Amino acid sequence: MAKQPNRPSRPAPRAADAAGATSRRSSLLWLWVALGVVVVLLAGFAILSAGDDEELTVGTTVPAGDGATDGTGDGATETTGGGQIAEAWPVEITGTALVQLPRDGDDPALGTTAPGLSGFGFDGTPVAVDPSEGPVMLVFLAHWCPHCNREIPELNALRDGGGLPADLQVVGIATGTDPNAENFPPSEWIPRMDWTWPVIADSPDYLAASAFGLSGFPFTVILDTDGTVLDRWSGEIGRDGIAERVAAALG
Amino acid sequence: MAVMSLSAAERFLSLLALLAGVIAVAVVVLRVVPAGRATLSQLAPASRWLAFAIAATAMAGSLYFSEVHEFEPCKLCWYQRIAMFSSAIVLLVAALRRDRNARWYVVPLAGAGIVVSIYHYLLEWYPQLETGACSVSVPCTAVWYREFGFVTLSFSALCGFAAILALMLFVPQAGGVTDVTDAIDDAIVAAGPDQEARHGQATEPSVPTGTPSR
Repeated sequence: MAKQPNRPSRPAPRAADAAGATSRRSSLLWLWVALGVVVVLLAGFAILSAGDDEELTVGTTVPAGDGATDGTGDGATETTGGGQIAEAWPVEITGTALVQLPRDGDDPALGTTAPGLSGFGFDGTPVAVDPSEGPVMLVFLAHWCPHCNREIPELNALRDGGGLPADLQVVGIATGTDPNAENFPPSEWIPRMDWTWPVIADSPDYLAASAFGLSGFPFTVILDTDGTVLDRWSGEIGRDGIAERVAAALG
Repeated sequence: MAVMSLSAAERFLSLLALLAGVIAVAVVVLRVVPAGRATLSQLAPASRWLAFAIAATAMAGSLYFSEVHEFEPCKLCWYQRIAMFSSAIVLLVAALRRDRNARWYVVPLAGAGIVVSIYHYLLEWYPQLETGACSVSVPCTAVWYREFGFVTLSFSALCGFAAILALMLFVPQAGGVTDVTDAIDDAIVAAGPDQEARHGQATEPSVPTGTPSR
């Protein structure tokens, strides 16, 4: 009973609380509505502004006729597309594939004979690796790999500065191609990187990469004029590193 | 998502990540600016649901890329997934229970997640920090996309973790773990003083506990 006088005062704070809660609820409702509207607008903007999805285009070939001039020997192929650009092309491997480059220790493939490799550039131009015309440096590159993106300018610097032997044939192999990954398509990425040597577009199942025992990107193989493997390495090593290993390999 | 192409989905989720980043910055600014404290208090009841929405969206986006488009997660992606997926589940339970102690569980998860995200994002710009080569399997240095030139998946995760951390750390947490008893108390108070008197309960103690503990 002693509390009786307090009673009339109670409803007032409760009403204030209720009013505060109601206003808070309504402002929160507006927050959720505003967030929902923003999300819908962002979705609409994304749908309208995004480009088309990329797909891997694979070049088609037919057996070459009498006039085959690509020098790949038996089973030579030529393109049918007539200038079609494709990100992957069939490649032809002859001989025995090299074992994968081990992470550590000696490379068991050194001194063995590398398989023969021929294929096509992005535009269907036949490209064949022919060591008899001079030692070869094969550089396997993936468009999405940041280390490849860092190593190409190093190679370009050697090219422009005369840091590579004049008779060394450099051939790039665009492999690991993935239409969902960064810098696709490689047919645009390679020229953008100022890569001016011939490029073979690897097959969709990366046959060329596995034939040379690729263990990472970038991956480099140096072949002697008789096709013997002189050196293999994985990863970026910079212009000085490349120059040293090429000089050491070619003696 | 079915109506969206992959590139549209990448853009949409990147925009959502930026929105989360804006929320994180806004919460920090409101906390720093004296006038912003009141706004943060208003936001309090929604903070756990908002944090859950962010974590759940990040989780859904991550699963969309990996399961629908077969973006294989790298090692660092997995560490971030552990933190983000767990945060989503913990935040859902915390939001349902109105658990003001949620920050004790969520902050360590999101804190670990944001550290990995920062390192992963750095690695994407400076791949030489870790290795000299991209592995044949799933290299952490390679990105699937760089939306607007800078928003990658790790950057999106970073924004998500930042928003969750800001909401958990800087928004005053309302509610209480004793939500069930709160509800009972609220019911008694709502029934009015006459009801309380009829129940023969001491009215005084029930008032403080019945008052919403905000």
